[in-house]
Order: sequence, then C-alpha cells, then structure tokens
Amino acid sequence: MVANVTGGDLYHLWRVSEVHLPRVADVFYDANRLIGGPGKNSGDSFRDNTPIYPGSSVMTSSVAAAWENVRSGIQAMTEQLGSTVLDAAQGVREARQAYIETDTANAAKFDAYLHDPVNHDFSDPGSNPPAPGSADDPGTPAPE
Amino acid sequence: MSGEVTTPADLAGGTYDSTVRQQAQKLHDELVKQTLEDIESWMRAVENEWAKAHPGEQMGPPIPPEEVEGYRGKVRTEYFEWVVPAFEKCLKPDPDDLNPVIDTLRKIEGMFEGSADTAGNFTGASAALGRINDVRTEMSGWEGSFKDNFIDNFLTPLQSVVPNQRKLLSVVREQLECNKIIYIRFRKAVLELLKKSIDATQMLNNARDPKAELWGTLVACALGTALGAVTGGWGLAATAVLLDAGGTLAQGLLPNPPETNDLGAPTAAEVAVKVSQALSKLDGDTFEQEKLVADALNALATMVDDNRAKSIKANTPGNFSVAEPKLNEATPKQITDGSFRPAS
Repeated sequence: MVANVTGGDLYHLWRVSEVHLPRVADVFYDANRLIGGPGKNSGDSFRDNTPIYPGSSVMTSSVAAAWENVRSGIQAMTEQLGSTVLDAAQGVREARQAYIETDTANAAKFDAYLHDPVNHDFSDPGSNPPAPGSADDPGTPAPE
Repeated sequence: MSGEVTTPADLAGGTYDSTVRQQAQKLHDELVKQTLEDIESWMRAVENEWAKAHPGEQMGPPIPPEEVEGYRGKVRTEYFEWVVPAFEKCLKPDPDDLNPVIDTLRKIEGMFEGSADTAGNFTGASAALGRINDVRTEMSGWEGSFKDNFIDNFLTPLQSVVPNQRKLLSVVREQLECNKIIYIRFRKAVLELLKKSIDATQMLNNARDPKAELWGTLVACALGTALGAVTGGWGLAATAVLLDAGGTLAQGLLPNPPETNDLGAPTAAEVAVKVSQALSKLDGDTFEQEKLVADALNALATMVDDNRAKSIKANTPGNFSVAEPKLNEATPKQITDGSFRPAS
C-alpha cells in the first residue's frame, strides 16, 4: 500500500534534489574544472631530465609524467564525487516523482505546498535551484 | 604547515637569464685569455729548458708567425665555444613556471577546507558544502531502508571524503613546492659555479699558483616524517617516501651546499674540464632530487587509484570516493511500498 505523504514531506525531497545537492556537486565540479582546466598543461614547468626512450637524445621530464599521473587521478576523483552527488539527487527526484505519479492527490498536495508563499519564497536564490550558468550551477566536468 | 615558496629576485625570470648569459660569456673570455697566456708561458719554459740543455747551440727555425696566429685563432674561436651553450641549458627550468599548478591546488584546498565531527556534521569554509548538513536535516523527515542507505552509504561518507581530499591536495602541493625549491637551489648552484669558475681562471693570471676553488651542488630536500597519518589511513605503499616542504624550508631556502668539488687547476684548460665535470655533477644531483619528487607523486597517484578502484568497483564508500545510494536503482513500486516513507 502507498504510504501517506504530505506536501511538506515532498517539499523536503524537492529541496534535497533541486536546491542542496546540485550546489554540493558544484563544489566538486568546480575543483574538477580547476585541476583539469587551462592550468593543467604544465609540460614546460618541469626540467627535461629523462630520455623519452632508453638511448634517445630527445628528453622528457619524469616529474611532469608523475604529476600528470596524480593530476588525472584528482580530476577523476572530483568528477566521480560530483557525478555521484548529482546521481543521488536524481534518485531523490525520482522518489518524489514516484509518490506524485502513484496518486494525483499527492501531486496536488506538493504543488499547493510549494506555491504557498508561507512555505516557499521563489525570489530567494539560495532556496531555489541554481540558475543555469550561474556560479553555483554544477555545469559539466572538464574533459578527461 | 609550509609558507609560500618565493623565488629570490636574483634567481627569477629575466634577471637570472641575463646574469647567466653575461657570466657564461665572461667565463668563456677568461678561459680564452688565460689559455693563450698558458701556451706562451709553456713555450717560453720549453725554450729555456732546451737552451739550458744545449748550450751554445742554435734552435731550429721558429714557428712561422702566421701559424702561431692560426693556433691563437683556434683557441679564440674553437676551444671554449661550448661554454656559453652549456650554461644556456641551465636557463630552464624556471621555478616560477610551477606557480600556476601550486596556486590551483591551494585554491581547491581552500574550497574543501573543513572537517566532519563525530555526529557527522560538516563544518567548512564552503557554504555549498555546508548544505550536506541541510540534506541530512531535510531527510530526517523520511525513514525506511532506502533512507538509511542514503545516509550511511552516501551522505556520511561524502563528509569524510572532503577532508581526505584536502589533505591529499596539500600533500601533492608540498611535493611540487619541494620541486620548486629544487629548481631554485639549482639556479643558485649555477650562478655559484659561474662565479667560482671565473675566479679559478683569473687566479692563474700572472702565473700565480692555483688555489682551491670549492663548489657544491644542492642541499637535498627534507623527507617527510609528519605524514604518518596519511600513510596509515590511506594505504600508501610502505616504501613510499614523501618530501616535506616545511622541513625543507626549515633548512633555509638556499642553504650552503657542502663544497666538495675543487675547480682550481694549474692551467685554464684544466679548469675548463673541471667546469664541465661540475655541470654534469649538478645535473646528476638535480636528477636524484627530481626522482624523489617523481617517485612521491607516483606513489600518491597509485594510492589514490587503488583506493578509488576498489571502492567504485564494489560500490562502497572509500577514502576518496562515495557510493551510489540504492535509492537510485529503486523502482517506483519499491519506493512507495514503504522502503522510503515519511516518518510517522
């Protein structure tokens, strides 16, 4: 049997999936874009100290290679965190949807709750989903 | 733990470049000048010896002046032409080229500043990460297995991952800062080498006796001991050696290296050989230091990759990753049937 929900219960889920988690994901994606962004190409920052293959006179840097190893690891790590947070948001979103779709009454309850000015202020940016393209919009991670 | 590493002005950018070029050219000129003098004094010495050994005899015809001039030209234009290019190779790397990377890491560290208390509440500089607590509060109105899984497998681990990440970033940054210090010390050693080589050459002027001109390469970076917590908790390879930027700076940015290489020699030609040997010694010592940085970074990379691979594969929370909550895969029926329901 379908559990009985109130508009306020669904509103909490809406806050989690639409307001909070995208902003949490944004921190990880921001870090991801910094570490994978224009600053990452530091091939010139390190001294060429090792032949590219044994005996070659063309030199490369062992430190640059090691840095790239760590850097790509950090990039992948921040991407995984940001994406998992967004996935979790999607899970919560679908849970809310499941309740709304099993019973039209639930949908009406949620709508009424959300649009009652006592409960929710649509003009407060921090309590609403991040605007697309704004500083706290997660956007997309840096290309690998 | 460590302050910013700033390249001293005389070792930075264009100042260092022009000093190296000027001094290398000067060393070249001194070597040429002294070699010509060495040859003349050597020739005179041989002639004197010969005259003593053959009293009253006439020496054979002297070497024609144009040939002598030819030998002089060769010394001027051929013998020491390697000097300037050899030192030009030391213009790179520029320690300040590492700044963008170090700054990026510092910036991200700032974003992740904060820690989780035992109740799971995250306190940090980032308002956005503080919303992790809000999620916990909003979810407190719900219960059921999906909710518990959401909190225990996703939300709480997320909070402990953030301080881990921050620590990782700061350890990585320290390795790069040490790398920068190595390059700063490298530059200092190059300038010292130039100065002492010029001194050693000038010393021979007016047929003075050679004196020892001692020169050293680099002081090695300090190795990390304060990072025990990292190695314990994250499964960093036991053989891994990390560099310690704080300890390295405690030596002073530019400590005097042990001066074990003597550049002094009886002739300019021999001084030149010693200069070239000193350059390869510097190259080798720098390589050894860079190898430490590379090994430390590789060990950290392996540690992070292992940690992440294990936890992502098993979909369990790890030191550097979180798991997908089960709610993500639930069907609508599973959700509404009571596994995820408003708290009664």
